[in-house]
Amino acid sequence: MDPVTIVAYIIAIALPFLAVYLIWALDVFGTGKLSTILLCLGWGALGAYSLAYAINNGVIALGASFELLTNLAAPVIEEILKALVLVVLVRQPRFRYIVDGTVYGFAVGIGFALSENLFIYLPRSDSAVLGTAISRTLSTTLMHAAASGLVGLALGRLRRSADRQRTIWPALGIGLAIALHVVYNNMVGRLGGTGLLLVAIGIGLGGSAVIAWQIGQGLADEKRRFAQTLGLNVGVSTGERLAVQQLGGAAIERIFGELGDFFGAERIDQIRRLLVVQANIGILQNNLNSPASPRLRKAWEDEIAAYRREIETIRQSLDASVNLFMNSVFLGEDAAFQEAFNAEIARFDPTLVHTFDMFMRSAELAGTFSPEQLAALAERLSRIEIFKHVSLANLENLSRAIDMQTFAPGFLVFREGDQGDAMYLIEHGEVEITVRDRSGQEKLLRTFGPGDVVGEFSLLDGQPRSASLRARTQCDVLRLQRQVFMRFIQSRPQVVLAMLQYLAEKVRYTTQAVETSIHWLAQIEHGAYPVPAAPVLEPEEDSPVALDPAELSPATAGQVERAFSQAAAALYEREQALRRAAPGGV
Amino acid sequence: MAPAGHLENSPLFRGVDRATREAFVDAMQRRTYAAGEVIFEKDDPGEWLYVIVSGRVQVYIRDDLGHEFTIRYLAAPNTLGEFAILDRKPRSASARAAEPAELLALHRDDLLAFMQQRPLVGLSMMQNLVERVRYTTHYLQQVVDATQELAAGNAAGAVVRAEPADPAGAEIQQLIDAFVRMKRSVQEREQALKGAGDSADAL
Repeated sequence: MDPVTIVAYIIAIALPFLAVYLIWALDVFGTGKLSTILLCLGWGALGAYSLAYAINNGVIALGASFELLTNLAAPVIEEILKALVLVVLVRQPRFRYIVDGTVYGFAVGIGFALSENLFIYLPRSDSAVLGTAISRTLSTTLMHAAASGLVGLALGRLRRSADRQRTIWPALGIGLAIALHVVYNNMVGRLGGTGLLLVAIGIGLGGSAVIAWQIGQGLADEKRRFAQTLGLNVGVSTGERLAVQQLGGAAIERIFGELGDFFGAERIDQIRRLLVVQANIGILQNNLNSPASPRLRKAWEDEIAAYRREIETIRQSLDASVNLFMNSVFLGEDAAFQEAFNAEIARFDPTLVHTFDMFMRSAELAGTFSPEQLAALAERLSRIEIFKHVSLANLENLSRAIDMQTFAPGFLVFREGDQGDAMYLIEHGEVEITVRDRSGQEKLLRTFGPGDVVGEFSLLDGQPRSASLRARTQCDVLRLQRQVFMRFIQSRPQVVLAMLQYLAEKVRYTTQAVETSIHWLAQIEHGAYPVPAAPVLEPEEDSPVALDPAELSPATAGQVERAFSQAAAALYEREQALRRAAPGGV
Repeated sequence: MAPAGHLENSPLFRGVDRATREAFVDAMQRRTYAAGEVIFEKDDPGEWLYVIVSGRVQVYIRDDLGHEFTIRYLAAPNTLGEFAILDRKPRSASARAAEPAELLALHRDDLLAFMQQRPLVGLSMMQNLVERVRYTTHYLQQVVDATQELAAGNAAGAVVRAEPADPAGAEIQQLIDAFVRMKRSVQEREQALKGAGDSADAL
């Protein structure tokens, strides 16, 4: 065997394995496993090839000319045989992704070409020059791969498409494959060296172009399927659309379920995050369309930039197949699809998506205040204890949801026992806080005026009001509703963390107050009244301690201390009086 | 018990679903301490949250003379520093392993990163803290009011109504117990003094 033939053999063997390695390393297939690719390669090289060999010989034995076999019969026989394994694989329940059909087809074609080259062309090419041998090997591989790839793709589209004419796809696929094969076989005998190489490149490029175009079409099919799941009007009858809409939040779960089927459960968390981040970018970009101060705009732009970086990181960790799919189906420029998808994902899990901003936009609340007013409101909010750890930009965003209310004198804003559903900032006028005592008598606790805040803890708590609020005079108040506030914070972990920090401080104040109380209770229990028994601190008669979660502070323990020292003094007095009344008492 | 199970009983993570708790444990560092090894010192910045997996932890302070006072011993499933991680206040006491111990540690930054992925954790924690603040305030108010009623001579009105399902836990129980003991002791003393007076009248 001369060196030329040896090189041709090496190419014939190395090329297919290089191709399979590339398919595997680049992971361009979604659900396929390496074992499936090797199965396809094996079927092409052994099963399809040996059956074709037998049948082709049979055709010759039946009297067909060698010419007829090469130029017509063999292409038909071989393409059908190669396709058999594809039909089986594409019908598997786990087949989900049309690109996989193409990859399977490539593998079958490469396998078939391997045997053809090793057993037919190379043994015959002893005398051929290196160029011809290499061209032949290369072009056979490309032709078989492209032809079977087309068949796999067509079968995949049949499987995934909802199109009524989809049954035409397999016929078209096999037809194209046979045509390609026939053209190739007719030319190959007449060409050598460079010409053959050009044909090989032409087949490779043409096949790739057709396949790329078809994959695009197939992905568009997928997009239509998801659009239908989302209830978008894409060639769906009204009845079908209604049925889908009635599924409600289930739509997004079905989409995530399908994506999990495509790409494996282990990737679904990343894909889910990708979609959520994408949704938030869209929402923030909508925000940028409404007037906002430079500070707020910058915060939004920074957040978008951070999300883009996150997307980049996620993409780098995802395979080419997933990225291709996500780009074509979910991350396109189709505004209606994006909007429907964002709404659906927000309904599915409102803690991940900025539903507050979506709500602001749909309720057309954004724009109630000018950017300057919002900035001023944010400054005011930042002076309220509950917001002290929240950034000004977030407060400015939140301020968009504040509404202005006017109360006539005597108006009952809320009643003791009502659900705590809002916080009020008093702008002008005076309000009074009252409680009913045990006899049902209304008792004034305190009054509030401009700059004061009522009900800040209600934002977090939502428990029934412990007192009533009534306007004493004509009042202008700014109202922030609990529901809107919760919607704001739930997708903003930094704000939740700020709330946790505020609450942790409150817990510490209560802990101090509880420790002080336990200390005093133990003192009184053991009759160890402080001497002198008079309260250390100035007694404030008729000022009962009224503990309010919103007003817990480092001073709370002192307040509690004062109450106990007064009680201790009174108890000491009573015991002294009893002692004096007793015989021999002092 | 698995560490994720521990978190279920933590006052801060009550109500967080199991899958999230497990992911949370994955985000934490596992640390082992030899007996006597210091976990943190008083006045250290509170940047870490610890979950005790095994062993016992001694929480203690030193007085001005350097004498050590044990505040309490903690074992699984307790957590340490759950408030410090939130408000970044310096540690109010020191902690060391009283015996070989295994702890899970979480840094504040990791908590924020985790909350970004699973916002429900933050919201559950918020809910737990809100309830704790509200209940503690409620019971403090009741104990203060009842003590004042007792001081005013209205023993019948001096009651603290405990609700069984109170999420503030041990702290509140201690407070209520202290009140009940105080009330009994005061009443017994007054009864004794009155008895002495009555018997004097009888003479």
